Amino acid sequence: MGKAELYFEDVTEGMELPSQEQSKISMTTIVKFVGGSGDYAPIHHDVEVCKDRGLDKPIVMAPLKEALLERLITDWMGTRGVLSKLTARFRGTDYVGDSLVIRGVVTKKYAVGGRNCVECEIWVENKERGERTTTGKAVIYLPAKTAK
Amino acid sequence: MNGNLLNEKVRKLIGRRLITQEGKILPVDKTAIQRYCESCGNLNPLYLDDEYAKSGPYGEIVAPPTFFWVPFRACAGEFLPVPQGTDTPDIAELKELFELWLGFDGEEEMEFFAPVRLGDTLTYDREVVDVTEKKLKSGPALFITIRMIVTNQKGELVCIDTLRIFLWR
Repeated sequence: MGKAELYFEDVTEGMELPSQEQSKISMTTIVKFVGGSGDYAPIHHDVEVCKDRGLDKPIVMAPLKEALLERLITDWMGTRGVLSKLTARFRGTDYVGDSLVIRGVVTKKYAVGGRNCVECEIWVENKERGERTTTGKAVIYLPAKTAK
Repeated sequence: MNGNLLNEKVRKLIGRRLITQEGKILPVDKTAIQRYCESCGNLNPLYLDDEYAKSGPYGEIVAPPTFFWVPFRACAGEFLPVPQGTDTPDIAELKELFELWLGFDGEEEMEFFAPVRLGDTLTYDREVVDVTEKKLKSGPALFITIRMIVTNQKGELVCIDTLRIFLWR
């Protein structure tokens, strides 16, 4: 949860980030995130609006999936890691009740302009449907062991 | 009804600035950060623990990077003539501009610069940078790119957000 340090030297291309799971996302979780984030769009919490749009259940909002992808990275990158860029592409729909697994893998590491950069491919898997509903990328700066 | 969505009128909206919630954005406080963190399960002490954050790289509590949207979204519901609860103001605004009915997020790219600190008041500058037409299974849709530049009261760049949304009839 952000307490350990992660150094540039500790990272190798191809290494997997520790995966995280959000099991059976409940309406309470959605409502808490509505309150925490301000995303009031009724398709995420109003069952009647969902029925009108032909949906059985409310859908999980994109900003929550981005926050879960962010947590995957910030839990891994340590106190002095810096998240520089986060991108997310919303390919599929996740519904209330679904379980999501958040994963990542290091794709590149390089030093440029005095910074130690690590790029990761990150994604959200919907366990119920066995598909990647959100894909993305993170760019992180990490401290070096050899630097002060 | 399913005509060409990308008409001259729509093309003229490229470059259009969107609602900024100027004057209504509240300073970032601990309650907002804590509520956001708890709501997405990100309990990193850099965001929540004064003592821990003091000895960290920022010298004080900061918000998680994706928090930048929160002060903007907290101003929901007041600024557009839409029935309460029909939509978020920015989606409703786009639908009104483009005269379309349904929308969803396609993709988002966020580039982070200065961290968001307690007491910061953020400013949001939003612009429609591109509109293209795509054929979805359900019919034609507009793919709208909005760039948002977020700065703080010191004039520091906080985030550049590029959001792409699909809108259709």
